[in-house]
Amino acid sequence: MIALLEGVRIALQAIWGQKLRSALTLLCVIIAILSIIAVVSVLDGMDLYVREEVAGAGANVFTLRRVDELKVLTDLQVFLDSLGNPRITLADWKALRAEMTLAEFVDPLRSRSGDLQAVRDGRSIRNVDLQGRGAEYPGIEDLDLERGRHLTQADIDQRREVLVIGAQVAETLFPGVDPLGQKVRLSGRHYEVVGVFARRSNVLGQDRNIFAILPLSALFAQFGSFRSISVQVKAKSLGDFAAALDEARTIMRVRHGLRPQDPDDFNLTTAEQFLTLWEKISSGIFATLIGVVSITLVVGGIIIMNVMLVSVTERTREVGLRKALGARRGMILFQFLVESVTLTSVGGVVGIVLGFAAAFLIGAFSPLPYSVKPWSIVSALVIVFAVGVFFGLYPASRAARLQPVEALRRE
Amino acid sequence: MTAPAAPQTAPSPAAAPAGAPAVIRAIHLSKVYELGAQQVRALDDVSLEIGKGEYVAIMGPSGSGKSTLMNVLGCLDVPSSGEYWLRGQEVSKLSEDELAEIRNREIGFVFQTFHLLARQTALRNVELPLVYGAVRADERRARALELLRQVGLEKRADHKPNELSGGERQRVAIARALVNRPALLLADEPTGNLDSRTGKEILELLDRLHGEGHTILLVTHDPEVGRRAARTVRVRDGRIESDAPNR
Repeated sequence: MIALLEGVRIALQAIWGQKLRSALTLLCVIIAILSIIAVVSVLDGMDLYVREEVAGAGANVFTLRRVDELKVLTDLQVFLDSLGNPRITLADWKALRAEMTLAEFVDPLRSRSGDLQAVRDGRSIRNVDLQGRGAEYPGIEDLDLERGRHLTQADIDQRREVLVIGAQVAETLFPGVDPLGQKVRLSGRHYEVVGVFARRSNVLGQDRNIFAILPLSALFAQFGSFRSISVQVKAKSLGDFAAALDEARTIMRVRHGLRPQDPDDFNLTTAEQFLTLWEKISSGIFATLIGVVSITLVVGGIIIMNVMLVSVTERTREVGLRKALGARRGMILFQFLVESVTLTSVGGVVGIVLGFAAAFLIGAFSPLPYSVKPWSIVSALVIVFAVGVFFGLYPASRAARLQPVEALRRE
Repeated sequence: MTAPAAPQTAPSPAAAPAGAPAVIRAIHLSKVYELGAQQVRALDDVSLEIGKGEYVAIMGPSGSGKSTLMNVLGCLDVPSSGEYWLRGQEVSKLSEDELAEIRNREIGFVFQTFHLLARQTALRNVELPLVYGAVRADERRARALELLRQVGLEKRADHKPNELSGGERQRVAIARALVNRPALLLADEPTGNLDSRTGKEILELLDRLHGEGHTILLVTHDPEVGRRAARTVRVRDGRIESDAPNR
């Protein structure tokens, strides 16, 4: 015990005695740990965000589509095959609406991009996501109103040229003016603003407020109804979700006249599928980034080893003396291990603190979210400790193996 | 001091008289180094006995093997063959860690170049063997201070080696060598790095320690220094050339 304390004491004195060298070594470890923590925190934050916001909101919602674009990433052949699928039509929507017993809301959707211009003073905004919808979208999507109203069944039935606009659209077209009742020009037609959505937070730098919702019937009237639509279905409850999915599948198969052995010629996509895909993608990113960052740590370890080798060489005579005075091999080994582990651990702790600070700053000043998990602190500490031991072991054992006679003779 | 001279022709020390075991009993020690294909016989069949309380000088020109002999007797190195009994214990076959323990307990080293730890105070330097002997901190301190007092440096306890003169440094080293109450004080050219006056002081200190009953082995090439001892062992070509009491 006394010898162990002495080992710690010697190690700390050695570190303190070489301030510049120790500081530079620390810096390497700090940078390595800092980057790991920052990367992990941001990745974790993204993951959390996707789970809670993007996928979580629509847990019992599924979407009927002609083609599932996500399949490009997961199964290209299936995607290419699905390009031959028949269109999803308003009739399909109406059938689902009428025949489904487990659906709470069923709403059609078609998006296109367009430019909007305020009739009042000609201000304009480009590439607005224009979503043609039915009247049930408020029950499916998490869209709060800032002012005005949602679309109504009457708007849909009478093909009224009305818009509910996103917060950014309102701000751009009507700065300082109440947008309600204002006219907006879309490809030559005038639409009236009847509602403004509350501002939504950005996701990964995407402004989710540049959109407008208009009656699908009006969109069709203006741009034609040739292209396929999607249909969003919200099950009555989470427990009914799988059954509702089956119900929709059966209805569609009957409508398309499919025989039992035929595959579906449409796609039913769920949040779960999206999550599965996200998990695939994110674990890939995760592994790659961690791999890249680990290299930094290995570099840090090599630097530690180098510094420790120098330290051992410099103190050969001291080691010889200590051995002559009765230090056992284990004590010398321990002394140098403490030195390397102290360097890595101190660097690790500082790196963790700075890493979280960096993650916090990234979260505050960029669209990337972040999250701090206790396990990442613990694993970072374990890792730096292991690096200290691993890369300190060789120099330390070299010191421990020194013969006192040889070592004392060295000048 | 009354130990009889043991010329090489005398009966083997293995047949040493019963009674208190000798501090050192070396029997047919040899040390062979392999230098490439060449074999160097640094010690060649050396037998030597040193009793408790003796003051012995080992003398010889450089390359004579006296350093090797000192290393073996100091348990810093092991012989290639032969037996080495230190205070009745056969140590030539011990492991490295066991030797470390023997060095810690039984041997006090004084080196030509002092070998003090530069960043530590005199007190800490003296304490060092006690640290490796696992002595508690307060007792370490008390014993180290006592030893510093004995060598007349209690007022310099908190000074670092570079704040001490050469003679003071060597006295700190002697205090360190004695702090664990070793059976043998092994001094390797203790005056080699000192001017003649300070050298004389150190030799007087050794004389005094001898008078107090310490067993001292002094390695030197300087006849004047060797003459201080009560007995001189001359080494040449790895063999003991002569072993006689000084007049």
